[in-house]
This record gives sequence, C-alpha cells and structure tokens, in this order.
Amino acid sequence: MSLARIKLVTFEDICLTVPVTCAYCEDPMCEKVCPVGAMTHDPETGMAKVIEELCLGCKECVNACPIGAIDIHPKKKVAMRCDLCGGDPQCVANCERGALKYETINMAAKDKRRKRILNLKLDSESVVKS
Amino acid sequence: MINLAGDILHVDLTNKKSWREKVGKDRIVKYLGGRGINAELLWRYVKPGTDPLGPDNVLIIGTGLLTGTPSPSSGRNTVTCLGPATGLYLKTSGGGHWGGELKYAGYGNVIVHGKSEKPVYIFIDDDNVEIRDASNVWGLDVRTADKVIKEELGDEEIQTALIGPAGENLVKFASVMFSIYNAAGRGGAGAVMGSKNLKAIAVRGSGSVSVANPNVFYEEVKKAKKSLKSDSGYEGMGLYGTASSLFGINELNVFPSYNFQRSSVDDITSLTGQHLTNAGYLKRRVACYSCIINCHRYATVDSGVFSGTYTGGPEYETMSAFGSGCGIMDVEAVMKANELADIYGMDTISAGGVIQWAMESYEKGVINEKDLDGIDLRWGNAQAVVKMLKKIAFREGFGDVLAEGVKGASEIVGKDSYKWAVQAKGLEQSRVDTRNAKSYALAFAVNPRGADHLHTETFAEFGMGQESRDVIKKITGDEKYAQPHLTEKRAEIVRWHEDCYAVTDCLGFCSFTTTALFGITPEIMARLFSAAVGVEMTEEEIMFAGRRIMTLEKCFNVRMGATRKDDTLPWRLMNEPTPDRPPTGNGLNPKEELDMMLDQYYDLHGWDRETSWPKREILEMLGLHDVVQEFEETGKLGK
Repeated sequence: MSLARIKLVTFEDICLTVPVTCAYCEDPMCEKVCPVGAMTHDPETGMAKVIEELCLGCKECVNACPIGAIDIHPKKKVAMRCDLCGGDPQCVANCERGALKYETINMAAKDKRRKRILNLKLDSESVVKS
Repeated sequence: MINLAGDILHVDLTNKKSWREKVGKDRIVKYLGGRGINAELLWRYVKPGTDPLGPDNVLIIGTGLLTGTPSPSSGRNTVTCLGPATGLYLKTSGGGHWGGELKYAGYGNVIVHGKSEKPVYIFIDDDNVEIRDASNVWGLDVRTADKVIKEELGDEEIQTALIGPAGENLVKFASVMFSIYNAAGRGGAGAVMGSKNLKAIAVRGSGSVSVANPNVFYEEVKKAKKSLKSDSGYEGMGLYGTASSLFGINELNVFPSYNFQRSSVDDITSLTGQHLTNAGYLKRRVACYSCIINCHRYATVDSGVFSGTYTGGPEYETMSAFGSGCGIMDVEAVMKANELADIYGMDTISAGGVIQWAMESYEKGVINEKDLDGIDLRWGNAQAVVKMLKKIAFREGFGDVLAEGVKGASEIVGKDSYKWAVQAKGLEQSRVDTRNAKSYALAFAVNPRGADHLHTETFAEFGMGQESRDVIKKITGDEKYAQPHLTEKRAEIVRWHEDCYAVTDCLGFCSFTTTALFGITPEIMARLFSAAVGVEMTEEEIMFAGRRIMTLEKCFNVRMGATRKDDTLPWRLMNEPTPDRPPTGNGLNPKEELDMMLDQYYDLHGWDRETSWPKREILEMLGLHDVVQEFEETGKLGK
C-alpha cells in the first residue's frame, strides 16, 4: 500500500472539491529537469516511475510540473508521482460515484462528444416544440 | 498496537503543555474507541461540582476507531464534555474531514484541559503540537476564521474544528463546527470551547492508518459497501438528503410545527429534500470522510430577498427547527437561518427551539415587542428570525435571554412559559413529535444528554421499508411491533438501539448507516472491528461493549446527581394532546404511560426502578469496577 498520489483541491466554503492527478504528459517536464534520472517511466508500458534510490529530493520536478501533480513524500522525502498502481488505479477502483475513470484519452473524448450532442439534440427538440 | 486507534493527545491550556497517552489493545476491546474512550476520559477527569463553563471541565474530541481507513461512511467525530445546557453528560457528533486528518497525525482523541488566559488555537502537525495566539481570529465567523487560520499556517489542506461568535459568547447551544459546515451542535460543546478561550483545533497529518489483517479487512469493507448500497433508502438519502423522509414523517404526524402545538403541516412539499433538489437550490451533494452516501447538501439562494445565501444543508432537523416549527414554509428563509446558525456556530435545533418558544410567548403576551427590542416575532416572520439569530449569537438585548436555552429563558420570563418550553434535562427537544412515536418517547426521556434522538434513533419503529421491520423483528421477535403507537416492547427496542448506536459512534460510523438506513449491521461492525484490531469479536460481544459505554455514560449522570426524575419529557408533550394524531394513537405522552415504559426499561437494564441507578451486579458484569467502588462510597448503587 502506498500513499495516494491523487490530490484534492478543496474550496470548503462552497463545498467544492476537484481532484488533480498526474496528466501523463507526452513530453514530461519532470523527467527533463531531474538531474539524476530518477524521474522516469517504463518504456514498454508507459507507466511513470520514481527510482527512489536515485532521487535526491531536490524538488526540481515539483517546481517543473505545470499542474502541481507531484509532491514530496512526507517521511521518505522523495518525489511522489502517480504510477497508475501498475495498471489498476485504486482511486478509480474505490470511487463509488464513478467520478473518476481510467480509459484512453480517445475514449474519454468520444464520451464527451456523445454527451454534448445528446444535450444539443434535446435543445433543438425544445426549440421545435416552442 | 498497530496505529489504528491513535494516541490520546492531552493539551493543558492553563499550563501551556501537551502530552501523549498510548492506548493499548485491551482498552480498545473494552471501550472500542472514539465515543467510548471519550466517556472513559470524562469519567476520569470530571467530578461533581464542576462548572461546565469553568476551567475544570474538559473538552474531548474523539474520532472513530475506523476513521482513516476505507471503511464506508465512518469519519464521524464525537465531542464529549460536561454539558452547559444540562449540567450532565454531553456527547455530540459531527462529520466532515477533520477526523481522518487527526488519525493521519497519529491521534484518535484530543482532550483539552484548563483554560487559556487569552484566545488561542491549537495546531496539531503530526508530532508537533502548538498553542497559538488567536487574537486575530477571535470574533470571526466560522467561515472566515477557517480561511484566516489556513492562510496563517500556509496550508489549505489543514482541517479545523472551530467555534463561531456563539461559542465565544457562551451561548448554551453553541456548536463545534468541523470542516466549516459539519456541526457537533447539540448541548453547547461550543460554549465549553469558548469558555477555555479556545477558538479552534487545526490538524494536519502526514501519516497513515494500518489495520491488523489488511486482506480480511478490505474484503469486509467491500461487503460493507455492498450491503449499504443495497439498502432501499440508500439512493434517496443521497439524492435528496436527510429531508427526503419529510413526506412520510409528516404523514405519520411526527413532524412538529408551531413549537409542537401541532405534529404536522398541511402541505410539507416546500420543505422536503425533493423540493430542495428539484427546484434547483441544491448545487452539490457533499460527502464526509469516506462516505459513499453523500447526504450532506450544498445549496444556494440565487434570487429574492435572501439572494446570496449559501450554506451546507439544510437538513431534516433544520427544516422543522427554522421551518415548520416557526410557522415558516419558505425554504429560502430556512436556508438563510441555516447559514447564519452555521457561521455563528449555533445548533439549528436549539436555536430554532428558543425562537419558536419566544414566538409563542409573544403570541400569548408573556413578552412584548418592547422586550424584543422592536422585533415583531410573530409566527412565520422570517426576517424576525434572521434578526433574532444575530442577537442570540452576540447576546444582544433579548438574545441574551434566549442564549440561555428554553429552560433558562422560561425561568427568566416566568409565568406559564415553562409549559411551552419544549425541553427535558435542559436540552431543547429535537424535531420528532414523541406523542405519536413511543420508542422515541422512551428514548428521549432516558437519553443522558436530554430530549433527543441521537443516543438511539429508533427510526425502525415506523416500519418504513422492509429493513425497518426486519430490525424490529430481530429485536422483539415479531415485526408487528414496528408500529409507533404501541407501548409494548419499547424498552427492548430502545436498549438495542442504545447498544447499536454506541458501537456506531465508537467505530466512527454515521448513524444513518445503522439506524436510519440499516446497511451496516452490528454483525458487519463486529467483523470490521475483528479484522482491524486483530481480536475476534462477535456481534453479541460488540453490542455488549456498546452497553458498557452507554452504562458508563449513564453512571456519569448518576455521579453528577441525576435520578429517575430527570428521565422525563417536556411538559407540553406529557400534558397537551396533539390535534394531529392517527385514530390508533392517544397523541400524548401521559405520565402513567411513560412511567410504565420507564419501569420496563430499568428492569431490562438491571437498574433500580426508584432511582434509576444501575445495580452492583450489572456494573460488575460490565466490568465497570471503578464505578462500583465509587458508588459504594457515595451510596449510589441501585437497590
């Protein structure tokens, strides 16, 4: 069991919580800035990996990450980046309301298109009715 | 032991020091955690003669044994102290995310001793505990104070338990607010915090929680989630919140209106959770720590006189306290009152209770517009309620009288006003009309903290849904007893719920999962406990532990001087029949009927009928040997 890499940004007064996690950039800044090559990914699966024995705890990756998805482990003092739990992300598995999904970006885009078109269709129907 | 329970953190505000106390496995098996450990600590530290608002009272916040694990809907916190409203035992519970953070910092319970000279707040950051100057947050409302503390400490992920102006001004029903909108409201624990000059307990934790048998535990968690989701009320509770039940509750004539002059309203629609959702007030469903139900509401008013209102809630109780109870059916007004109660840090049930008592006193001419500083406090006047709430929180004018609660206020105002002061032991009754619900009636009368539902929640007696009837059958042997006007078997129903509710609180479960929904059964709780702690515990054994805790709480009241005469109901409910009643019910809680149920209840517990004091053999059976020793010396063992 590992510490969660997913972060929640909370605006408590308006009860709004938004999850933030590693975006899996195609050309990750965190890997580029790492001075020792500790921030890396598996070339075959593409899954991210922090080689903790190499990590200096310099925090360059934290600064470089454009969305703030990297933290420093509170006890080990090494970088923490989402490794997708080896292909079965536990945040998704435990999300009871289905707010989190693990799917290819193209599938996600298809879902989004479909949802939007359905809404448009309803709108045009109501226009026709009126 | 494995870092599941967490340590007890002691903070002494008088001497500005803090220390840790380890909690061994034996103690967890005996007192389960959370509320149980709190009860044990209160027994250890608070002796007769203590002033609830003096430095010798303690403020204890315990989070559930399972809080911090993925166990569903188990992030509740219990606040325990000598209660300022009653002078007796008080435990009050709140949700939010504070408990999980406390566990990650390595603690399960925090106990605050003494009193600071100047306003302070406590910051717990893993092993570092600081008592910090709070002069820049003292006086701020809850919403603003939370922001300022997080800015000052430079970490928005900090969780706070804090009080508003009502707590600072020692309002007898001031709440302790968790994560801004989750109130531990009942009984005035916020005033105890205020009396210690303690504005907040801010927590940040970076650790984790482990269990004894992870694989078994996570399998049990999956089963628990499945069971909870299969409950027939699960979907509705999430979609429409706690006020989803109002149609049914109103139909059963247990939804009080006009300060309990009536037990229903003619058309409940505008106050229901369904209306709140469908009319667009609800903006988000909100979850407490690890909750899969998400019954908490975030709602806003976007137009009209109360435009700009935004708040967590309103919940079932608030819909009656600020709504029907005050003759108000406009949900926007209820939301405004809810917002003010939350940011001033006051219990909505009691705040609504004192206002409707004042409305009736005004109608009957016991007080007049001059007493009320020109406020026209007639039934249904929402603007008057809004004005009065502020006066109460800041103890201005007549607000200073109402801030004492209905018992204190009726003693000040005098005349016949005690007759419509709907309280017992000093606590304003929560929003169930016990005249048409007899398990509730007995439960409210014997509740150590006063007339309310949160020591038992005998919702099952209404027989709404098969799960309710199954629970009643399990307790009594026959589902025909799932009928709220019956007086038979009420003692059995109440005692089972006491045990179950104690286990629920100790483990950190929300009572909605065990006694409003029924998906989390005592058996499931026993299995989760066993896997988490590594000690096998059966359903019977864990319920027995629940009874030990509940009995210890009762004994605390005995120590403070309570007897059978304290186990009573509000005057109105015992003497004025309600006009709203079903043909099969008497619509009243007459003394003879209550006495009969009390006799049965004391017999069932093994308590003395005359005094209500527990007998030696029952205390010894429960392993409460310290209590036996003390009561032997003070002559308080039941005969």
